[in-house]
Amino acid sequence: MDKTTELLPGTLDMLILKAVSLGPLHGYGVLLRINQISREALNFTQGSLYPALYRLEHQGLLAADWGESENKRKAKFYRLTPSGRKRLREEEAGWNRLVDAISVAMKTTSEEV
Amino acid sequence: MFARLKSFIGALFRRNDLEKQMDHEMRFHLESYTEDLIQSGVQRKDAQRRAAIEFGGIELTQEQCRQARGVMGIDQLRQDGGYALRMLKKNPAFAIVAIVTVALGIGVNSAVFSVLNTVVLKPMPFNQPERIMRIGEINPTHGSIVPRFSPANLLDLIKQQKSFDAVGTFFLGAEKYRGNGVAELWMIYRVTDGFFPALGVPPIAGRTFTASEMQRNAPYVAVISYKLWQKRFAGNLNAIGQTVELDKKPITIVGIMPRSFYSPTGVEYADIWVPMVIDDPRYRNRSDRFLTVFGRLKDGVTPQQAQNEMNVIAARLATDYPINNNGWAISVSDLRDSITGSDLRFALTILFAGGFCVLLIACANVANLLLARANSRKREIGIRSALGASRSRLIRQVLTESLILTISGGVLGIALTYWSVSVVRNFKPGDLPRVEELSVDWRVLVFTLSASILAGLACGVISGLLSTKSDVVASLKEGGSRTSGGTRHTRVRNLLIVVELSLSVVLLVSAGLLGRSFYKLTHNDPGFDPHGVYQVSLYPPPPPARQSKETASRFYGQLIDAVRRLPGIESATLVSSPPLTKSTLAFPVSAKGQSMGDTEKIRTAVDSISTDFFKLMRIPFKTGRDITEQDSYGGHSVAVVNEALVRRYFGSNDRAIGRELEIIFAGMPITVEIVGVVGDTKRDSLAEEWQPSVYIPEAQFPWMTAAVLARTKLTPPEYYHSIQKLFSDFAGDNDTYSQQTLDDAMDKSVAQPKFYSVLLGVFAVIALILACVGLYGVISYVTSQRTQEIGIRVAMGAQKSDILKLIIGQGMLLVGLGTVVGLIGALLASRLLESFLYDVSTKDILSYLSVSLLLAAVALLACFLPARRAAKVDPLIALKYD
Repeated sequence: MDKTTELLPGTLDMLILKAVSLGPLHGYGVLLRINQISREALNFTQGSLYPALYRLEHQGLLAADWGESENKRKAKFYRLTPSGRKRLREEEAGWNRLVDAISVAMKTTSEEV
Repeated sequence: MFARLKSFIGALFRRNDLEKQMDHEMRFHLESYTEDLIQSGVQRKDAQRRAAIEFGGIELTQEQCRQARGVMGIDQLRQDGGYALRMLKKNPAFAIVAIVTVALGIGVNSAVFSVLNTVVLKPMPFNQPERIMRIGEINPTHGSIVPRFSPANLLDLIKQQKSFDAVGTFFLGAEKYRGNGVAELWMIYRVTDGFFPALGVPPIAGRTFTASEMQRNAPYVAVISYKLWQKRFAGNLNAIGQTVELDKKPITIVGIMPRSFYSPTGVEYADIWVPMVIDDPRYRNRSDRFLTVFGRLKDGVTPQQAQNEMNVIAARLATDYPINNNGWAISVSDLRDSITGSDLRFALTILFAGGFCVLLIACANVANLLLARANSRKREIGIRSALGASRSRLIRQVLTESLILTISGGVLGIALTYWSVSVVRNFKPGDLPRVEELSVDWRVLVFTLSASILAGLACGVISGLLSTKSDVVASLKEGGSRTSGGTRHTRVRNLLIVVELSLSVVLLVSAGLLGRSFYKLTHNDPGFDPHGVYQVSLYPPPPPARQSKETASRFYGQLIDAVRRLPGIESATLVSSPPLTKSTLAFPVSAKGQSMGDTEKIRTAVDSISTDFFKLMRIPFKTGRDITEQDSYGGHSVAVVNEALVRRYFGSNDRAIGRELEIIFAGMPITVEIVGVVGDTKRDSLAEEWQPSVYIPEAQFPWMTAAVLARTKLTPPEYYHSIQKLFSDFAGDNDTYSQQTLDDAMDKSVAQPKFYSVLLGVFAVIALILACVGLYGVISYVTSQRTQEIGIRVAMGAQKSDILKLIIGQGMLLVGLGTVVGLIGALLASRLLESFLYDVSTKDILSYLSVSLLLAAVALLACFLPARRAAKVDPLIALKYD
């Protein structure tokens, strides 16, 4: 637990889009995929996934179909829509700019000012 | 966008499905996670617990999901609605007052709107009615502003014009239909061949008229109305080609018009249309302008282009016939405008404005009620916002409540509208055009609904914004004590009350002015005494009166003698135009000059009368002699004139006696010698100026006679019975002639001003009541807020009278302010009423003063009731009172 970090506000949507972009997933699958790709470093309430999924679906960034899970149960699978893919690219670019800007800022030493 | 809509619609219709799916999805998550935990070695019980904890609150998550999915709006609306309904149920008096207030405001507006709708907005049942223009000759410098054509000028216009596809005209009359043993009066329109094409309405069967049927001696044909077709021919198509007897002449039916078709004047309904021959020697006088003419613009021709062409034609007519046409222009105007007339539209606009004031007052009242309620719920609102309700959420709550109130009020208002429309229809407000069409249609319903929604939004936003603005801490604190009376709310509520009061003052003054004007109109001396005078119309003339002038003269002489012999008849006379029936006949009249030559010919009212007319009507004789039995057919032609005519031509009564007038009857000049002068009378309307009139003996001019007047003490049924019997004995005529008393005619002639003043009066009374209810509400509320303070005052030794003075003074300050603002407003608004006022100044002190007193009296009562309650306050209880 010590090594995990709280999620920045607004980044959950981006992570969900990223997770789903790697292949259609059900809600629990999204959780597992995020944990996997973030090497379990991120900490968030599992339930908070669902309002985000519903919001993204409502915005037309995700589409959902009912299908069968690995353990042969009925589950709702989410996949990325074209506008979702576009949004993911935008978010990624935005995120990278932010990270660059902040890391440059944080590396600044007193001589450079 | 589409996805959102889909999800929203899905949310609406598959609410339960979605809920189930959501449940399933989350359960799947929990169970899968539990399984995984168990596989990694956790005990089942611990695994379930951990899964539940790490998932978080499932209810909260689901609520957030619903919100994310866009169902929230609906859910909140449902919640708000339910809450509002519960609040209203808890406080039914409040709800009822608010709903009734709104219903009155909306009902009043919708009723006026339904009149406006029928008269002004509803399209006329013609093809492309906006392409139909009224055209006519006008001469504003002579005061001839009603556009009319003389037949000869119209014929020239029809030959020359290129702007119109068709030009038509009509002339209205009543003729008798006799056949199959029935005799009935049909309203008949004589129309030209351009009449139907100009209106663009084809017959539902058969045809309309051709140009060749407009010639003299053409076969006599007719087009009949839908109503007549149903009544007389039971809707059978074989009516076409049938021959009926109209006024003793056979006439062949060639066409049937649709049910919706009616005459473009909008007032009279026709039963039958027959060709009108305007190319007739009788109509050669180009100065005799009496035809109402309209034309359909050709495609691509604008009204302005048509007007330009008419200017050219008018100039040509003036050059060709300068004596008749000099100074006359031809105007082109929208047909609808000419039907409704700017006066009528103006009157309706004013009524509408009056109705709108009532609605504003009603809205202010509802806003006030809501504010008062919000104030007493301040603590609740404070708690809700402390718990995290957003301001928009709280405003939406108030808005929902206000909309529920106003929409219920609107529904009740619609019921009120149905009722008031039937009242208006039965009221028959004078010559209001198209009043038969008056109904509550979809336009009225849409109007009512939008008015209620707008009212709801207005009330809700005002009170919502104000009641939610307070900061949480203050409102929670303030809720504890009730000493503060002078908060921002109270100021707004006071402002609303002042607005209400001043609006009702404006309405009251306007109604007062119209009422005074109506009183003066009906209590002014019309120049004759109508009480106890009966009138029987002899139009169309009975058969013996139509054979020749001699037989007519003899027939009328015998008829009037027989009427005079009836028991109970004090006196009887014949007349061509009974007063106040708008049947005045006017002919060109000039005074024969002695040295200067003849005067200009001016159209002047001419009446043919028999002996006793002035005595019966109690019109005072000024000088000279009355018409006597000696002024018989073929004798020296004489006339009696009124003082207005003397003033026009001769200056003094004595100088008029013995002078001669020339009257042009249908192109035929007749010279009459003036033998007497009588007092002036009102002819067509009680509001008119005295008009010059010429009275000629009916024995010498029998073709004009149209009515019998009789003065009697008999009751109407007795009189009608005996006169009917006399007619059937005398003329072998079983037809019913229209009868009325002159009092009735007088009532009818003032129906329109009566309609306006009654309607505005009703508005004003409603406004006054609503405003005072509002005032009562505010004073009661403020008083209840000050209970503690009053308790302290009483404890400190204030007397009952001091408390009364305190509270009433506060209320009357508002009343005084409202009255002053209202009186200033009324002073401005009454200028608009000027054209409706008869013999009453717009600054009529009496109206202004009485309105102020009335308002003060009613308002005093509205303040006194809560003040008395306040004065009874027991300081011990008041100080404990939270």
